[in-house]
Amino acid sequence: MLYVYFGSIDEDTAPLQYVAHIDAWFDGYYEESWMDDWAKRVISEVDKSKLLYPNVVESPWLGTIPTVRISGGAKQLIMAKNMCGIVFNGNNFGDNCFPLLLELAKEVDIMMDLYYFPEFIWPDGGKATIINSGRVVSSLKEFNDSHFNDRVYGISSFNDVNWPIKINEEAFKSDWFDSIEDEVQ
Amino acid sequence: MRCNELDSIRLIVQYGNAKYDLDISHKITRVIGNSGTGKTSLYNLVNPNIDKTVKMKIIGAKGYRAEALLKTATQSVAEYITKAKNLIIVCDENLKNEIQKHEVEEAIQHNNSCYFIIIGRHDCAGLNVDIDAVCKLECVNGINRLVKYLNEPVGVNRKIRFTHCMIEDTGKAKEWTSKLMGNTVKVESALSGKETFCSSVRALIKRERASAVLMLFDRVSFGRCVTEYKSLINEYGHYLFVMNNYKSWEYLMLKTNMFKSKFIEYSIQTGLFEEKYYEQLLQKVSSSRLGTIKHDGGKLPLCYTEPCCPYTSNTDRECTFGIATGTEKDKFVDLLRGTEFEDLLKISGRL
Repeated sequence: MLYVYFGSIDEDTAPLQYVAHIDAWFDGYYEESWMDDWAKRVISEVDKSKLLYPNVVESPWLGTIPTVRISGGAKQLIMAKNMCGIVFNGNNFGDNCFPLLLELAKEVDIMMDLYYFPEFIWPDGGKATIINSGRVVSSLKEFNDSHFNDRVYGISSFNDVNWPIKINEEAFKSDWFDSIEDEVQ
Repeated sequence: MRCNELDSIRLIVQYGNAKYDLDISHKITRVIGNSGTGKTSLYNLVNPNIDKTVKMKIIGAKGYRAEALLKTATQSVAEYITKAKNLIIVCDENLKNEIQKHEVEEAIQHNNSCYFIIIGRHDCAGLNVDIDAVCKLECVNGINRLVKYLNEPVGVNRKIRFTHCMIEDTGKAKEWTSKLMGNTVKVESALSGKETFCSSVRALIKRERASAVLMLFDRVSFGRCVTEYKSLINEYGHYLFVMNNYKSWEYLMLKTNMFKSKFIEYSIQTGLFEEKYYEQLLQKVSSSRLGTIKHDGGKLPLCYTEPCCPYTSNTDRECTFGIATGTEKDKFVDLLRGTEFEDLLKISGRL
């Protein structure tokens, strides 16, 4: 299920499990095993590029590029399939990512906040739960209706939002790094 | 050249098959749109820290170059922008937190020699982006160009019988517009300004089954609301109409006959912070013993709505404010006839 919070999260006080800037999160944490058929499809449909190897993409514009140079929307779609219990900054998904996102959300749980109003064709059978109201929507009209009516203006604190899936405290943590920090302290 | 006297500038960038030919016609251009259209690639190409051979050319202004906005240890983003001169500064969404800081917004507002390309779909409330300056990148024949994000609903047609008018502002602007429209068109204002404007229009249509709504919002700073505005148009566009030349209520006031001659003394500033510029200008040219138009507070002086000196027993000799030679016995006709906002007289049934 796709869970959407209509509002903007304060990234200064949000935990590491809020993916504020996908480049920083993806580039530092992605794994070669994520580069499966789903990644191939995402890179093809969103970026019009071809995944040659787990770390290499062929872009019609930029030539051969490392995987970390794919678009933010593609990165987030790939990460969404491979990590759960984290919250995405939905503004990193362009309009063209939403049909794929709703398709993916039939299989995995995805949470995000969203400020802007995306414009896209709603896929058949796609559903989203609006965290603000608890409403389940199954069309763009219902989605936008809820966005207009239920959204929170201004900045929200991450901890004030009732995220429906348990936040994965271990996500993006590094035993090695954290252990060194502990020694210093 | 100062951007306040803004000319278009053209940024041309090539790296391999990645080609950009960007006409930049506003001080701040906001770039949104689909993923994978080359927004972040543009940022990377103008980033001097990434080692590559990028061809870059700027047409329309001498001595200008393009740079990526970076966060460095040596100076803050606000300091960098304050010192920046003759640059096209490209800011990617990974710096949105910086751009949303008040001191950075202030620095951008006061920088008169740089253009800014702000990438990202996040809120950009403090930047006062013009709705016409919101663009997306579109690749045509292998070249990426900036294309206006919005297709506007149709403009005002004199034959339309408006049922409602939704104005973004409360206070004086709402008061003036309500008096102008009289009983002909019902005037409502947004619940609390810009960010609730589209919701208010939507609620109005649903609640009152409004069939023709004139929307008056500050175009010069409505860029932050562009996606919800587009969603509103997609849903209810056939009920909605705009005045394309309505930049803000203060601009309208300045372009009425009351201030026409005074307004000409000032240059029309296009570009950044236009809304505030009009507010301050109106305040300046309207200063008189009868009252100054301030953005908030106080009541609207009668000069804006009631027949002034020629129609009353008061002498007009001391009046430095208002139209002394009005002939219509209708202040709104005196104010608007022959101006670019004359259509408002037809909408309100005064002509």
